[in-house]
Amino acid sequence: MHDSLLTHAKSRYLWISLALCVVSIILYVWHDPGIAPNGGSWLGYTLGTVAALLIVWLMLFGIRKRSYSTTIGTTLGWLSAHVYLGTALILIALLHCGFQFGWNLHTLTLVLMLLVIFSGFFGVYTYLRYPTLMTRNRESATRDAMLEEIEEIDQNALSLADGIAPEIHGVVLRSIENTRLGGGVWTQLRARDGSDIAISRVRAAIEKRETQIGGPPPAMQAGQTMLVMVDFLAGQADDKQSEALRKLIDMLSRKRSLASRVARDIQYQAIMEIWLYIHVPLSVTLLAALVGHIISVFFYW
Amino acid sequence: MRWLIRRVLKKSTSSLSYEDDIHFGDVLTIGRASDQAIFLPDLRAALNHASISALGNGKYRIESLIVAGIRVNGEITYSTTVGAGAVIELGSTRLTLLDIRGDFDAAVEVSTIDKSEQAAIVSRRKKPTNLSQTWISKRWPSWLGFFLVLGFGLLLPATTHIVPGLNKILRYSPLPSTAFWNPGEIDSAHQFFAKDCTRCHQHPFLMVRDKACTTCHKNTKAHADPAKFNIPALGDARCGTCHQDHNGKRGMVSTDQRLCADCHADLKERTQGASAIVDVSDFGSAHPQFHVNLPGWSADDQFTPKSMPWSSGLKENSGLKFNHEKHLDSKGLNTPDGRKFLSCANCHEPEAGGAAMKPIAFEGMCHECHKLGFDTLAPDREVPHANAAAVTYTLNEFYSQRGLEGGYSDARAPTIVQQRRRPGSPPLSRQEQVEALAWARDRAQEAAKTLFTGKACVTCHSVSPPAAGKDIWRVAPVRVSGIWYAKARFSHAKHQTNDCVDCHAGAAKSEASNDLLIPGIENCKECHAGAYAKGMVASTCIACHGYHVSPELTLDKRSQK
Amino acid sequence: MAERFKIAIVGSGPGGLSAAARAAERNESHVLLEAEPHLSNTIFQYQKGKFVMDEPGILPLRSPIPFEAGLRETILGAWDDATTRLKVNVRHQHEVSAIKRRDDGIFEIKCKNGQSIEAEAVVLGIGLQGNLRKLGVAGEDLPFVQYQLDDPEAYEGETIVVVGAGDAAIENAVALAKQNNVVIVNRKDEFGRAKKGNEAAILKAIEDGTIECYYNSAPEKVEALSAGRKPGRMILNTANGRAQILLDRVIARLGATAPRGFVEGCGVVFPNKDPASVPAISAQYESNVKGLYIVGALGGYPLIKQAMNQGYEVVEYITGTAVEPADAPLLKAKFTNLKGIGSVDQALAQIQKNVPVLSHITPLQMREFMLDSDIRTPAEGEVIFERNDYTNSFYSIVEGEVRIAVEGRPAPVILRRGDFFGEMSLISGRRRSATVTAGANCIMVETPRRSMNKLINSVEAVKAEIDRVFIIRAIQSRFASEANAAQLAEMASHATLQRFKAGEYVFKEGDEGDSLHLVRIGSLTISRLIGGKDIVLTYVAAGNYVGEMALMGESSRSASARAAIATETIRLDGKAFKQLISRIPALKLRLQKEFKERTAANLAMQAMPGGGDIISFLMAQGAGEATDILLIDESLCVRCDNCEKACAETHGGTSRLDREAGPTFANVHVPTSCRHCEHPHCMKDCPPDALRRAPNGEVFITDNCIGCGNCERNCPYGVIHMASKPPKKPGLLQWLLLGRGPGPGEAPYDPKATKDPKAKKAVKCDMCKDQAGGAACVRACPTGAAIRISPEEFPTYAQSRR
Repeated sequence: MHDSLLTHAKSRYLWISLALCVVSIILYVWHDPGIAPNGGSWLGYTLGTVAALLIVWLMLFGIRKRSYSTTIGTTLGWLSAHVYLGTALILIALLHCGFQFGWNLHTLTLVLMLLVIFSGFFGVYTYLRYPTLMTRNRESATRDAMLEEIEEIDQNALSLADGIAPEIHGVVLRSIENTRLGGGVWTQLRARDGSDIAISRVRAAIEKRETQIGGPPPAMQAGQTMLVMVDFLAGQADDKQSEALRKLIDMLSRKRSLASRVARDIQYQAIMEIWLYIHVPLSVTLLAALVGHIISVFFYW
Repeated sequence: MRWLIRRVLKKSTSSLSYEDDIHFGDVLTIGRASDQAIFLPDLRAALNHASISALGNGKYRIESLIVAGIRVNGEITYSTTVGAGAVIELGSTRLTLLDIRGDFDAAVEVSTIDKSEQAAIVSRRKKPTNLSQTWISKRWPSWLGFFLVLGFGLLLPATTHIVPGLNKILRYSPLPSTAFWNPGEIDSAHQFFAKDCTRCHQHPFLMVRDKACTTCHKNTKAHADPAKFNIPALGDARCGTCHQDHNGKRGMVSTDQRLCADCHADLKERTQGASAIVDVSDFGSAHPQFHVNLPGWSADDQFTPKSMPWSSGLKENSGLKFNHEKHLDSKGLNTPDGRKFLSCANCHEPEAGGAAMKPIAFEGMCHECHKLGFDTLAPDREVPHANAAAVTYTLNEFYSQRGLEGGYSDARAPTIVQQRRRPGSPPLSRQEQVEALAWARDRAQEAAKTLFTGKACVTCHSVSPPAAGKDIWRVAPVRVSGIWYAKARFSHAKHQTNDCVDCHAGAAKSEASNDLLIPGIENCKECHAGAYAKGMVASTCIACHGYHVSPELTLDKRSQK
Repeated sequence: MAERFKIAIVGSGPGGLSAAARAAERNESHVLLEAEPHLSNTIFQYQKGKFVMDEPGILPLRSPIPFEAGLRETILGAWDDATTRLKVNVRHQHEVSAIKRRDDGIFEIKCKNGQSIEAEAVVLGIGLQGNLRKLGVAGEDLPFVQYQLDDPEAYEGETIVVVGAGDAAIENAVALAKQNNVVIVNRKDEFGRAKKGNEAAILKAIEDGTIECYYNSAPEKVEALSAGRKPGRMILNTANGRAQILLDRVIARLGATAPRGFVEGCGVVFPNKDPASVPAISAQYESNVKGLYIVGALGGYPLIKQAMNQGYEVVEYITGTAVEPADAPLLKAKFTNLKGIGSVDQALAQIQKNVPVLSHITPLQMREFMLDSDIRTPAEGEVIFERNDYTNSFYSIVEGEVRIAVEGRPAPVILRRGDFFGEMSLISGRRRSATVTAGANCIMVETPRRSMNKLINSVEAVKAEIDRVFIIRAIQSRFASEANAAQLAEMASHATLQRFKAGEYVFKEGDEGDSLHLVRIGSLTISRLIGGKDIVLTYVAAGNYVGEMALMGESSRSASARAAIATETIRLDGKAFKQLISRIPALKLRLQKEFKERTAANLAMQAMPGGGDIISFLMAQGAGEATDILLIDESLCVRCDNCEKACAETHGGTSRLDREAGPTFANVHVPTSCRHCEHPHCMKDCPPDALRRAPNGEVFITDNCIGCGNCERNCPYGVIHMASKPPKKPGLLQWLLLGRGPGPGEAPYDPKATKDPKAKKAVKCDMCKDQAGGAACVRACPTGAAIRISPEEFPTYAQSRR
């Protein structure tokens, strides 16, 4: 039924690229150019041509992916081939240059190519790993649904807090003002939130109060909102209020867990996309380097 | 203090109406409590949320009375001083501070932010939840990288080809020059112009022309004259075909045997018989018998060695009589100064460079035993070697003197020659002189005869008596071909680890000097084989043969056309 | 003494209006009675600026008033002009309450406003929408009191009172609450009448305080205010006393009175209780009540142009001028390839004579029927349809014969003149069960699914006949290979049709096995109680039979069969069946073989209960009625939305698929996209019959869609929406390289869109039937997460997911 990009068509492209590698290795071993193996021998030119064509073809994936009405294979097939042949490219390119490196355009091209390929490996890894995590994290709610719930909780929390006392209302108000989901690249990539500590603190504090040891609240930190409430609990709250307050706290912990889930969701999404921001620009750069490599080689032939 | 509070009432989508009222007091309180000057029935406002106080001259101070702070001009603040026109947003209400107007001390406009606008504001405040909404992009970095690499990697170096001076400048700048294109280290011989690519790569997109090489290597011989041998491959063969640079300091001669074999495997067809050279493709498997140069003389006694395929028992004729066995006798030889044991090296000395052997010289090697004396009464006198005329002259001169001065105690000589002259005795009479000289002539002729035919010359040389009316004996010329294998490069030096007999096995046993003691191909093949030899010395053509062997044509001439 | 007219026309819709206009043109004495203060209310209530189509294009318009496709405003304007120009005698605010035919043949027409009118002939053009209920209190007609809502966006910052507790009221209230203060007034103390979704929405809104709600309250009166900020106020009777609301606007959504009751009140009879059925009317549009004519939607002609033509014609008929119906040339055209038949009417008569099943229907229905149908004269041996085609049109043989190649039957079944075929797919909504080839000189009528269903619903006799034949053939196709005609007939005599609602049990595990069920419509799930949990073993699609196990081996049911969706089965009596198999060893053997296979399959499923869960999950998503459903494996889906982009790109900029929405179970995600149901809900009510099913089963929308939005409303899966065609997009490279123009999947910016609204048409997934490579969403998925499968594959699928 479903087959992943690695197992697609019984991993057809894995075998193709393996065959390609084996053939090139055999040729490389059998071929002796009289001098050190290099890109200038006929084998060198052959492998070079193959590699160049491969690179261009691999880059065409960006277009194929977006040309939806074409019938040349499925996008899945293309990606599968993209991954496997891309991997084979490492070997072919190395054999092409006959393991000659230097501080020059040609080695630069090779390095760029390797960078592109390895960033691609990371991409494959994320594609295989994160979807499941994401699904698990969402608990079959959509992100929008979670965001909506958060907003809702905010509203309810406000009205609830209002019923308790102005200062509580104040802090809730602030906590709402302070709730920010998403953000810059880094914020998205590191979905961190100190909610858990905060909540555990609060719980602890409440128990304290119940055992009539109204100790001073812990130092102001991540869960400020909570702590203020605990303050209040410890202080003048009557039973009705503290009842409401507990409800409020539950509400806010719910909100926090939601918030952290949304944050994580954003993070997963971001991780699954970020590598492309390296992969694509580098491959375009590689294209330029490749053009330069080929032209320069024949410019000074 | 009189505040003007202007409420903006929105009737429908378009129409607006205002409603002013006045507030007395120096601060304007904002909040959800009913006692507030500006009363906001909105959960997002605290009971008493904030206060505004007019500082006069159109300045206002806004203070938040709760921890949440208040949003002024889009920023959350706790207390700030702003001018007229500042906007406070609180839930669904917008307060705009106005210039002082009329006889009021301060003025504020209260308008509601309708739900759609609130939504807009919220969505505007939303942080991006997706990388595509952030600043990073794939497009501009791609273009950047593309043009950077293309510009500095290709275009800049390429321009140096058009702008002459540029390359020099670039080399002393951090910017990439054509050196950035250099695929590998340049051969040591070329190092001193390595920095200038155009020395060799003269025309872009053309392979390095031979002209570039022959500017220096002008006298290097060509291989063969394409004019004679119509082999396309020969015409195409560039210097670069065999000599590829950029493969490191260590030389750049390709010893690949295919370079030769490609043509020589079937040279006859290629040249439609123009070439007489035998087809050869691999020393081990497909190499013909060597052709050895044997000494020979043309009709007019010119030395013209003739080349013929080597075969065992092939005889040569150097004109010399020599018996190797006798000389290499293991029991040694009797010599004037005692018994002597000879080895090859006594006569065959390597010449400087050690490739070939010095020619054998009579004086240094034979004369020690083979004396050229002719008169027992004067055992020390000898005739000179290798000049028949000189020999005759010496003898005549010697005996004439003896005859005239007398005292030559030989019974068979006339008395006039035997008797000794006393001091003061009268000089010989005319008739006595004639007698003495006649003797001398006969004696000299006799001595010559014995020298040539008897004890001396004839041992090593073939001798024939003087022509009629002449008195000079004739000795046949002696000459070894010197370079036996003209087409190949053989060096004794490279084979010093071997004994002479390893190759020249016959020498010890050879009694006649016309035995050919030069080994043939089989002998070499004992150690050497072709390029793909296993367990032997892998020798490609270049090991013995040269490529630049054209007798007359030099590369620069060839590359002229 | 009430005033009298020759022709009284009730309802100023296209039909009525055109009739009145024609009458006026002919100077007949006439009156046009319209309940509303404006003409043709139904179209008047179209959304502002809605583009009205004039399907069917082929039909010529004959009417004194003009009509061509255009904006609602221009059309209404043209009609108003025409009415005044022709001096049509319109009586607005005259809502007719009763029409009675006196013995002297004169009609007495009573209006709500007390007026009473007499007429010799009555034309009913009241359509199907019925009359909107009004507040029924003082001030119900004030300018700020309205009974429908075009565009919630149009109002903001207002205080709006919405009266009503139905879906319409709730949807309006919620929409308005976005930028207004909304108060909803509910006579009862809950919103029981509303759909679940709407109920949840309104309760949440009330909870959040975005909407204020008065329960158990009814408006007492509405008044306009001259002073103050608000133009009016409403006095409410609430449970605890009166309340007053200052307001800008009142929107009352109290539903409409369905016309059927009224029509029946006039003495007109309907063929059956089916709400879709229409009263039988003659070729002259005359109902069973003499002198009472019915035109337009009420008569079963939903399209504007049809109605107008009828309005014109009906006046001609009443005044006794014979006129050839507008559709005559069309019909003639249809009969051209039919030689030796005279006029259209003769041809129709001939067909009815030859085909018994059509003999029961009125000439007008016959005309309508033929208008939709095609006459086919296939050459001998020509294939009419292949087995497993997804066509579902209905064929009646007028002359000659056809051969039906039934599975596992050497000789083909021969059907002759008067027989019909194709009813199986028509009813089950599934692929053709056999291949049919034309016999010698064969003439037949091919009728599309829609008009055939219309016929079946409105003519009882037709339904009965078709059902009878269906049963016999169903049994034949199952057991014919072994049993002979007599035995089959006997079986058929014991067969009965049974209906099951979704989730209803056909039989329960452990029941006495007394019958065998052939699934006729819908599908069943077979489940077994394992560890107190109902484990779904497999899925039985229409055309298969269940319950034979109990009859073969043990006598009690080994598993429960439940209707996955609304299902119809043919129940075969157990005893008769047992006799049959006892008499026919061959049949017994075959059944035993199938029996073994099924048991094996069931055991396989039992071995892995998870799989069963997946099936039941899919069933819960209504996959039971699907023929092809898009599934996404969320363990592979990288959320790149390439599927949506592909869909949009291959379908002019609008995606028919929402990946994120929809439930997920065990990493199987059912996105919001069309499942191409066996009996597509969207097809139910499409005026121009624009929804079709392609031979491969794709349900798609043809270009003659009039954008009425019925399908959007009817689709329970919310996969149809209205969109107008976006302009051409620039090339991909422009965006790829320069970021110019819209990216893949983004609709191109259309500057004209705001100014002149282009025709909005319904769009839905057509499974890319015009794309060479098949469904673009699946082909565009880079990780293989998206697949399309049909319910038959569910068991295999479930096993592949363990």
